[in-house]
Amino acid sequence: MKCKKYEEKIILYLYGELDESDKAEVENHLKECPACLEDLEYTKKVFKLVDENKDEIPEANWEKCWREIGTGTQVEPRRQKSFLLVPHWVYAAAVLLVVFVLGALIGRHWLFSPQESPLESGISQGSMNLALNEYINELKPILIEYANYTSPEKGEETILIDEKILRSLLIQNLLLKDLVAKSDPSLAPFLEDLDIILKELSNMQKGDELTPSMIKELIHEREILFKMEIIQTM
Amino acid sequence: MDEPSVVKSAQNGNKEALRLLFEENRQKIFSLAFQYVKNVEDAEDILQETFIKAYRFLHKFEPQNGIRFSPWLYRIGINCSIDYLRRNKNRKLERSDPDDLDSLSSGSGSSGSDPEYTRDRSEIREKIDQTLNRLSGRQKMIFILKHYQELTTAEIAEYLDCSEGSVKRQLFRAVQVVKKHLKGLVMENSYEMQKI
Repeated sequence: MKCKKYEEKIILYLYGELDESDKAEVENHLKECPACLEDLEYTKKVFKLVDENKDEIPEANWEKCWREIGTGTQVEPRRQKSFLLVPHWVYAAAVLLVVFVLGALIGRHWLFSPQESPLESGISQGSMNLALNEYINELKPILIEYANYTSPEKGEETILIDEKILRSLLIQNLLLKDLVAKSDPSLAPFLEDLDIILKELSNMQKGDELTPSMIKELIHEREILFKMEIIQTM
Repeated sequence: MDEPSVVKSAQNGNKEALRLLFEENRQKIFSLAFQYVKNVEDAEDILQETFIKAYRFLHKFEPQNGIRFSPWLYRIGINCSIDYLRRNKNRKLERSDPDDLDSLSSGSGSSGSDPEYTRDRSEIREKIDQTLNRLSGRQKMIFILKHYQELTTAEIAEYLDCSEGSVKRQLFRAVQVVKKHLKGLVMENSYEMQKI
């Protein structure tokens, strides 16, 4: 059986990515471990197969591309002296706009009683915490599953989460991010991490063994479960 | 004219300077995009997106910080390729017609005109594509940057804005998948070689 410790090093060795001491270590190990030597030889064959079947790179239709680029770049890039090139009527329009916006704001403040948007009025700090708690309760079991992920045995399939559940969790995350931005921005990075995990889960396909281990790594690296505990005790 | 002067001129709105900068880098970006999506039209789309994005952010590029234009553009190309694949993940990106691609290489190999050889080769390529498509967009990019573009893991880390350790880990995982899914093909090929 090949040695786990050397699996990654052998690949980096073949790519010439090891420093002298690691290189010597791998070479010494290969002298005494037939399984790793076999793995090295097999990896070489795989690389050879991939190399020998590289596609020739065709030429891009540059004239067509340049035309398209021309259409996509109708807006001139910002230049250092660009304000001098702006027509005078733009300044007049900008001043009018500022006066209008200020007027609307002042008028709204003095003429009408203050009203919050339905979203702001409907959700206080307390109910936001409740919503966050419920969200965590829903998501936590899924994440625990992935935090303890081990590669499936032969014949076993990767567990896939129902698409509807994932969609609902993503939408909830979006709404929470909006609320959190108004009340407690320090929670934003945490929700952002959850968003990444949920998107990875929704992109995952049957038989995919890499995404679960990536998610596992992410959960541990970002201490997601620990953060969930902290939020729930708040 | 040296690169910083051409960049400066392009930043001041000189379209010819811009064209010159793009022309110098187009084949490098196109080749990366093509290796990533395996389709000429999609690779051209990526090339256009890269240049349009670069044009829009050109005013932010500051050569005096010791950054060169080509790596800056290449970085945009890498990100545009990953984004493109992500946006089109529900659409199966068809590889360009193998006959068209093989006609490019037919002059370089003696077996180029042998129909059986061409068919075998295109089947092998199809299988390699399928295998690479099993990887996440980022892993596939790391594999291509390392294996086809022959960058070092340190360079890849810089382009992808992550640690070298993370690149090495992801490269290792990518190669593991490639090894696992090409096993049959490697065995078949070794057998064919033995027969000869």
